[in-house]
Amino acid sequence: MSVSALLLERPGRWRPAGLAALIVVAMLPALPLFLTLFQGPDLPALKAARSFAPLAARSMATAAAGGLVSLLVGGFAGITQCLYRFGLAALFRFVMLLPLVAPPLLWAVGFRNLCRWHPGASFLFSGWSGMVSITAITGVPLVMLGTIMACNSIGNSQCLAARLAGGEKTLLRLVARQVFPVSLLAACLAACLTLSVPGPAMALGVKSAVSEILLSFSALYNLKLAALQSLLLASGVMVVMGAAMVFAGSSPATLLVSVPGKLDRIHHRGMSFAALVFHVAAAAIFVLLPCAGLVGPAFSSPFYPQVVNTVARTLGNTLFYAGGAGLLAAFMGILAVFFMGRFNKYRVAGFCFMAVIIALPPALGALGFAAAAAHAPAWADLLFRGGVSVCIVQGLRLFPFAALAGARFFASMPPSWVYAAEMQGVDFWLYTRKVTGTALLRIMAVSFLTGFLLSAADAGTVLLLHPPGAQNLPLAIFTVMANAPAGLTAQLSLVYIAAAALFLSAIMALERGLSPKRINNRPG
Amino acid sequence: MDLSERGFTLRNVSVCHNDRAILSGISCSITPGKAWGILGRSGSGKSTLLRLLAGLEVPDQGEIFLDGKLVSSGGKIVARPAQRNIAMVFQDLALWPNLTVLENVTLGRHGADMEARALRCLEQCGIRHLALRHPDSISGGEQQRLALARAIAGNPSYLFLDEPFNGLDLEIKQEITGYIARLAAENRITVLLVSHDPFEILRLCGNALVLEQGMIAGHGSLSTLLENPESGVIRAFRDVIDAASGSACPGYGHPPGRRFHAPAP
Repeated sequence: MSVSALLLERPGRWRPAGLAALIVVAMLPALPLFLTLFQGPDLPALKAARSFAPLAARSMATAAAGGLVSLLVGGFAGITQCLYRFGLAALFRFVMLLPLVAPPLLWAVGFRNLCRWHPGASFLFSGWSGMVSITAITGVPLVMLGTIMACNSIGNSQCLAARLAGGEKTLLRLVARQVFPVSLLAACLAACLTLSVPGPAMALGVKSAVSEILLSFSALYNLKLAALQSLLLASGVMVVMGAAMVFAGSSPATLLVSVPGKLDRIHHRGMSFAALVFHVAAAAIFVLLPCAGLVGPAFSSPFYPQVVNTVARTLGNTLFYAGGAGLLAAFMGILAVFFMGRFNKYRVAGFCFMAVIIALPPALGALGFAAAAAHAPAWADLLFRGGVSVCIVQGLRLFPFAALAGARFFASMPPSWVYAAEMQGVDFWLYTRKVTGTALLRIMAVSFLTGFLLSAADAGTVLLLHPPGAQNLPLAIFTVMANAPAGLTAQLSLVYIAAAALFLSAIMALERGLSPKRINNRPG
Repeated sequence: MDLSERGFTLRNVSVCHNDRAILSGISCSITPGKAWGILGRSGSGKSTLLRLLAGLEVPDQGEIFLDGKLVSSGGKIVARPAQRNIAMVFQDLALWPNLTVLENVTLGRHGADMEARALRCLEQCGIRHLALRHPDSISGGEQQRLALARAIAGNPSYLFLDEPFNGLDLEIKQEITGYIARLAAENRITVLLVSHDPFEILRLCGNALVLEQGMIAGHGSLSTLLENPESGVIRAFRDVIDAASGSACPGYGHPPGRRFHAPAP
């Protein structure tokens, strides 16, 4: 069937309808959770949920403090990486992105070990202050990444004008003002993400909101209480994200998809040196320090057979959950890009909903699926009680990352390509295959790998949904953390970080060659 | 308005983008055989008009006829761009960077002799030797010629040029306008050129369509329009030519002192 390539550029009611359908599908796993609440009042659960509120507020305050630190550190790191040339910048970017693709639990284990060796470090790295540090560790790469993407919207001439007007100080102020909405959103997102992860709190011996939800479901077997607590936490997240999005306005949707490659980094004696020192310090505090907490115990007592055994036992499940989630996320992400197209209003609406989807606690979807599984017929076991359920819940939650990568790729192709195709009689399928084919495959690979890594790092969803005996590696670390020797946990954590580093380098290599080359009508 | 006449006929065509009127109820004819320059200030609707005629954009209201047949009407495209026998060179050239020069010309075109015809077009534009290169590895002037070769490979009756000379230096601009004039004459193609440069218009076009705030402010022979300038755009156009013909820099080779040297329609 001949479909016009203009489909990619034309507006239509199918765009908002498709986008809305996608958002509804992504929220679907949480639906059964709402339904359980409508089955009748449960006064003890309500009472217990009320006592949960102060804990949720405390968790949110901690997350906010961590978010603020990540905003300052990640924002400055992102801006300096875009504006200045300094030694080993690419390596620093890689090192500082690592915490994003490894479970926060691992860094918390590192901090816990560090505090055991040097009790003086407890002031910063244990208890609630440790939670702030973990939120900052997860948040810094997210804010840095968002800031770098937003910096792409700034041109060389704008930088030059700012420099002429008032030097580097003026430039930094103007760039910070330009990228602030995106950095702020990323910081809020990072705070919400850490808020929903149970591992770090348990490793640092803190009673957090999400660990309480886990307790209600797994230890007390009270789904209704867990549902109420999840919804309370989700309401808080929605308020924070809503306020951040209202403040940020529509600019993040435009800034995040701006075409890269316009800004040339310069070598400025003072600023390049400052950037280098800042990156050394940030990488040392946020990555190397927790890693040191893992390396020490890992090499002091060898547990190699147990490590090999645990990795071998969990490798298949880790790959299956992450692979399934990555595939679903990539597919949904490309669909989202197709529906949003180049239309800013759809992008703004789409990314707002997607930001909420990512920010919502993963427990919401996982518990919803668990509630549905309780009533599902036997023939649906594969879907509701098998490993597929983990893939579905994670994939539906992580697709916005794939959508963002896809939207950036789409924005880098000028609309005139489609117009030229239509003039030449090239239909949609031929255009997709021949003109965008190679790059599309690449973006699918980047989306898949991003979904894969983020999903592999999630222990919470797997904990709630995995079939008996089918743990993934982060969950195995989470399980052995309390009782096993510190050396074993540390070695398993290092194995995970090494594998994540490999995957991250693959993503970065693919991303580097992603943007299609633009051709300008200037003499070459 | 005679719908049986050849060429484009627009009847009460309007286009809005985000509740802003880009074109407001324009009616006119664009007859074949004569090169047309579409003039107007930035945002006056020139490129939108070109995309409407090409079938890349849908009019919100009104009808567009090509050779007496309805091709677009309010809210829908009746004949797709590929069915209108039109070619277009875009402002950014719209070359596909992952395809070779030859593939850029042949993609989507069928026929046993397509490759031979594409090579002939590349030959006509003087870039046959670059057939297996990729567009990003050739110079700006060669890219321009590739865009032209791609446009004429489909044997179009109309060639739409949407400010294709932006960013080119004077020498290459001269060369490319020369190519276009020659190709249009050899292949009996009617050129529609959108440009801000009076000399490009003067060099290629005998007729002009002047747009002001989405409405037609002038339409017909360029010489007549320049003799009796009713719109501000034409007056500004004439002032630029006057200044150039009175100066030591005659611009595009127009002899000093000869005003309104438009090609005969």
